[in-house]
Amino acid sequence: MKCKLILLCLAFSLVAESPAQRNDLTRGDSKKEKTENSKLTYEGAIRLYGPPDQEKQMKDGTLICTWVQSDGVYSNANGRVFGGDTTKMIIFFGPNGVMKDRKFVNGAILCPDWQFRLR
Amino acid sequence: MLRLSAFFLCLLLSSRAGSTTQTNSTPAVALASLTDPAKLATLKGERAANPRLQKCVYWLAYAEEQGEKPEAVLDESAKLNRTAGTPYAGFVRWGLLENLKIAKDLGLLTPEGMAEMRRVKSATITKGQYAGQEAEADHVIPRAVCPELQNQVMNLELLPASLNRAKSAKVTERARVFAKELYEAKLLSERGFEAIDKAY
Repeated sequence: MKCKLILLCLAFSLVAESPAQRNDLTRGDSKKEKTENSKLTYEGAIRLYGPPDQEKQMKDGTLICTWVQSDGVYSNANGRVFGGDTTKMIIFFGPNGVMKDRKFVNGAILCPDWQFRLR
Repeated sequence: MLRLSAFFLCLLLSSRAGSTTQTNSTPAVALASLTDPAKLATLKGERAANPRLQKCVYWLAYAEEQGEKPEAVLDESAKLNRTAGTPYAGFVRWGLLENLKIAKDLGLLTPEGMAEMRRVKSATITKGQYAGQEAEADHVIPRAVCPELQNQVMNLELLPASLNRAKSAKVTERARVFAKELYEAKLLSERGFEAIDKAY
């Protein structure tokens, strides 16, 4: 009887947890990963846009980075910047290095990312 | 009774062993093949890896549609092509997730766009100021400057066609940062890095 119980317990322990565990192992900690990938980090921004032109650290730990679109060649589909104002992208990073807010100054259009990716 | 218990034990163990072989999702298997560095190294011709980017984005979008996390699918694919934990896998993961985001921003993931990317064709942009143009695979580090990176999926990014033409072989500030990272990770030769640095 003991032998039977041991065998059944063994079988149950092997089977009962395996699908969920296997899913977690193969899929990874998706909740954590999603947070890491869905939010732009300071390092990620540098990889996308290059080093910022200005950096300012605030007392509360917020880092304000400014990228200036000095070239202007890629500002619109016709290949020329319109107006004479300097287009800027300002990203505010929290103390954890993750983007809190982003602002575009002058020339903010429907797909403004490209101006800074290709500068 | 003992024999019956043993029979059930065997049945349960065999069902578990059977299900273990089904853990790899189709997108993960496809991505493992598309990003396998050994396979990429054998590609010949200019822009030979470009169609792979379209297909990688297709499989990531498909996985997401099916309720899978793209990040987890990429991790699984890295395990399958044995690059997990290497800098190479890290760059591929980051680059492909960025391309998925671009595909969403440009409105490429329509049924028509998905069908085009599955057939390794450039999808048509449906959102934003570049709507109507095709999203082409662009080399972040131009292939004219650094041919050794021309067939690396991690060096490719979806870009509206007009911008791709305008960019040409220009080495951007971003490309230089990327080249430095690749050089430090030993994924770019010293000669290659020097060529990029010189062209900047």
